Amino acid sequence: MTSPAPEARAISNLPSPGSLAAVVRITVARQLRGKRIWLFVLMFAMPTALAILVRRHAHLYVPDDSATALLHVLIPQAIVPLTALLFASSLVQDDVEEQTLTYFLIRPIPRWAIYVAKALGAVLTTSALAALFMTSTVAAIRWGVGGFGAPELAREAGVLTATSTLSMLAYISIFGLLGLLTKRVLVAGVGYVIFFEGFVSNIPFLIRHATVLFHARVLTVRWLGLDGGPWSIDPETAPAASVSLACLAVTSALFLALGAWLFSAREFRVKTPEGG
Amino acid sequence: MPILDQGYQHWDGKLAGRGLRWLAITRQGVKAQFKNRWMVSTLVGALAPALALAGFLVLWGLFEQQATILEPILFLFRDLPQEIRDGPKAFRATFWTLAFALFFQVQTFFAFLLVMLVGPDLISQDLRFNALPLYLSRPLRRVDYFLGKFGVIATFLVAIMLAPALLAYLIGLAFSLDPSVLRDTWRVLAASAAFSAVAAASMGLLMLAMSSLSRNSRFVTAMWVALWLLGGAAVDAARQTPARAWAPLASYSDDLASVREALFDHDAHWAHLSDVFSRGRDAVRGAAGFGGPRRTGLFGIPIGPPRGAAPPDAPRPPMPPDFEELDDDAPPGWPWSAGVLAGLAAGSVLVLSTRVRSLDRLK
Amino acid sequence: MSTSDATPPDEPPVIEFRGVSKWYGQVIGLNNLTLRLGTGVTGLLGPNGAGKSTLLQLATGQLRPSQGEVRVLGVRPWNNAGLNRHVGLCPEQDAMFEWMTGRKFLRACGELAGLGRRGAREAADRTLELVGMTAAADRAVRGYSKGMRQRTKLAQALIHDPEVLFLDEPLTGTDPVARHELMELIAGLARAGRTILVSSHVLYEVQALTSRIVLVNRGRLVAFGDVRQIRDLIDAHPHRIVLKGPDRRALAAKLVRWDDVEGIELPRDERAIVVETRAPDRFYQRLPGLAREADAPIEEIESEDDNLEAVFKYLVNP
Repeated sequence: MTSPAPEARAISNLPSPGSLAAVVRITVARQLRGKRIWLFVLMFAMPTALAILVRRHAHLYVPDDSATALLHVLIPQAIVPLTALLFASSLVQDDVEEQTLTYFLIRPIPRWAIYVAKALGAVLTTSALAALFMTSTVAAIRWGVGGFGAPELAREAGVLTATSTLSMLAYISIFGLLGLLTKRVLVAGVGYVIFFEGFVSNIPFLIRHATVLFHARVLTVRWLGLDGGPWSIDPETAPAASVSLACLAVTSALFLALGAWLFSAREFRVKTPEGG
Repeated sequence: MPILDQGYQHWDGKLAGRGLRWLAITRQGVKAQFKNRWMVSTLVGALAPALALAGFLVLWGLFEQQATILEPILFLFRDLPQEIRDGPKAFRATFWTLAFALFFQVQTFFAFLLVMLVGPDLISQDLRFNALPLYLSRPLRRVDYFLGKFGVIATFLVAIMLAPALLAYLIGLAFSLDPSVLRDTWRVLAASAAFSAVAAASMGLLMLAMSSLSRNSRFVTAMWVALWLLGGAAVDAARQTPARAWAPLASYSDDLASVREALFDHDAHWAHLSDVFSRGRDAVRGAAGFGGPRRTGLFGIPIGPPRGAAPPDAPRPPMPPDFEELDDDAPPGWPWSAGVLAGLAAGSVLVLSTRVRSLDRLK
Repeated sequence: MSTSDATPPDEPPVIEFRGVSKWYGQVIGLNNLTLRLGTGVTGLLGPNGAGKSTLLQLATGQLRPSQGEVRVLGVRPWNNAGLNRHVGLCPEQDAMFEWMTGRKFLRACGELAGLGRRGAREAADRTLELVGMTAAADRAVRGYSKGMRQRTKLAQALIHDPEVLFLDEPLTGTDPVARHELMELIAGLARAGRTILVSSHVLYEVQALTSRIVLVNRGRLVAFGDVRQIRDLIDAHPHRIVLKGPDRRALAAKLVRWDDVEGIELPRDERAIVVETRAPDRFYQRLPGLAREADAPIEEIESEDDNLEAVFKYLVNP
């Protein structure tokens, strides 16, 4: 005699804001733990230290030269993408390796929402770091030079923080997806940063519109009224700020959505770590 | 029929000597790395410069002998100064040295990649999965453990640096058909061996120290990448300060390059070659009677300033008096770079001895 | 071995597997498994690599079946996060968020379960009390012993008061007192109407919790139902009953004449004989008469067979 068919329980797959906030909080806490955060602090503090060194010891101090070298080359071309790569590569992998992913998967939070919340947690942490050290670097370069004071600092640091945050969001989305596709995400990411972002963004062909760095530079040039000459960006022909903003936003949304979809569809062997 | 005991049987044979026990760790480590597709691809890719080096040495050997087989491609040599075309053997050492120096310059990049792929897991995974007792509860000393792990990195670095250089050298010897080639080029071989040893020791120790600092191999990879990429970027930024001559010391890749150039006496050979090319260029201009700078070439590859460079008597902007004293900053000599590398190695040893403790002191 | 529902005929199953297979590349984790479980405690048994963890991960939505259908409370678990409001899992792996204290870990789990901050705080305090971890709640998890970790893991499975519980080796590493307390807790939860599936290697513990078992081996369902019924159905292996007395040979001489006795063994213990029979109930009925006979006194009777270990051994190593 067979049992009657069970009635399907009515369930809602909408995550509660509290659960999502908990995911973000746990992600941020994990990123700030241990020695890893000191590596990031050192990386971000390096431009500030160099700025102080140059300002203290240069025979003829030209703030714009320091700004170009540190704020517009070293940070956006090396530190920001490398930081995003390191955070994004550990987004899911850390939980898989430490076998804690189970505690997210068995909660009433859709998988795509777990992924998005983790990515946002990573963006929050990296943006906070960027904001802090961008401000300190700008201050180290320009404070007191030619009447540069608090309003100017707020403006320049604010613009640079905004572009860094947008870049971080785009990079974390891209590298997060890469992290789900391959275990060697760091190798692939470093190659992407050096050869694609670093090289292609500097050549004045249409292809550079496909790089995050190009759009971040366009925003910096537009919002701060800079001369785009060092990066072959002609303000007459370069995209408008709104276009670059939209490009970065759409890129982030697209890669984040792809990553969320892949995370939902993938199975994770948490009990026996993959490749462990 | 005798009935044989299927149970546990004691080993009656000879145990391996103490000195070679580390080899078991190296052997196992190297075997495990071949499961990594990325590592295998990088290893294969790293052989391409070796093929190019061997090809160049073969070409040079044939050029020295004025071999008829080169007739179809003699046009590649037309830009060489007459002095070289008339007596290539006198420039054998220079060309061999520069070729090997360039080879090692390229291989340093592959070494960075290979160590990044092979190195991070070596100690960090043992820390993460608490595998150290498995090693240290055997009759293995800590130094055996370190040597074994170091051997894994050294094996791959030797495989892409010394081994292909040696093979290329032997191929170059074979195509020279001249016993004096050994006398002229033995320094190249010695410099190759020395730089391979320096690179393997330095990179190996540094990577092992980093690997011992964290249980997360991704973090170790991050430290390695940061050392190479950000070090160079910071040096570029520091070039604005009066300490710019010393700035390269802060870049690990620049320190390696400085030692490499010293071992190959790169600057002297390059200066010698530049002199010959200058003399050759002047001779051509004088003989031809028409001016205009012409870009010189080397096997068809143009070198030197492009055409249309500013004439030598174009007016220069006046320089502020303070800048005059900065015109001739000499970079620090290679002993400083070697000192930096030695210091890093010593620091690595210190970190390793602290992080990887003996069995009774394991957490 | 025939499978049967573990649910009364008029109750819908809580956990249902219909022809479920799961493979990882060339390796089959579960092979055409059909199963229905109702309320109460069910033991999930099997040797290493049998497919127990695969079964639990399929039931909790961590894995997707390669074939067939899994339903819990009538809903497919894969990519249905809302079902997790009613389901709790105590995983096998020891790892937790090591930097947190036990209390913070449970609060975080409560918040992840959608209880809100205050609700999570209260639930954490309640479940800490339930599992006996209140005293150690404010220590970092990384400093916990194995037993403390097990209790904390059980607490996080209970924090949102789920209807269905999946417990993967919940008693591993616990001391006897803690084991007893946790078993009482699990039994109490079952009495309150929850459905609990307990996976364990420790057979006598599962036997103390429930007589209803699911036995898997090499990805296949081997047996399902009450331990004794399963044992009775194992026709291939006769029951083994140990009798002890001062004159075992005299006892053996009498027993060998009984039709339902298939074999008699004289073990090393000089007072014991082991009797094999395929009709244990009939054998037990006749035994008192034998014991009254003066020339064949029986001082002890025990059955090696009427337990889970025997079932396990017979079915897993036929």
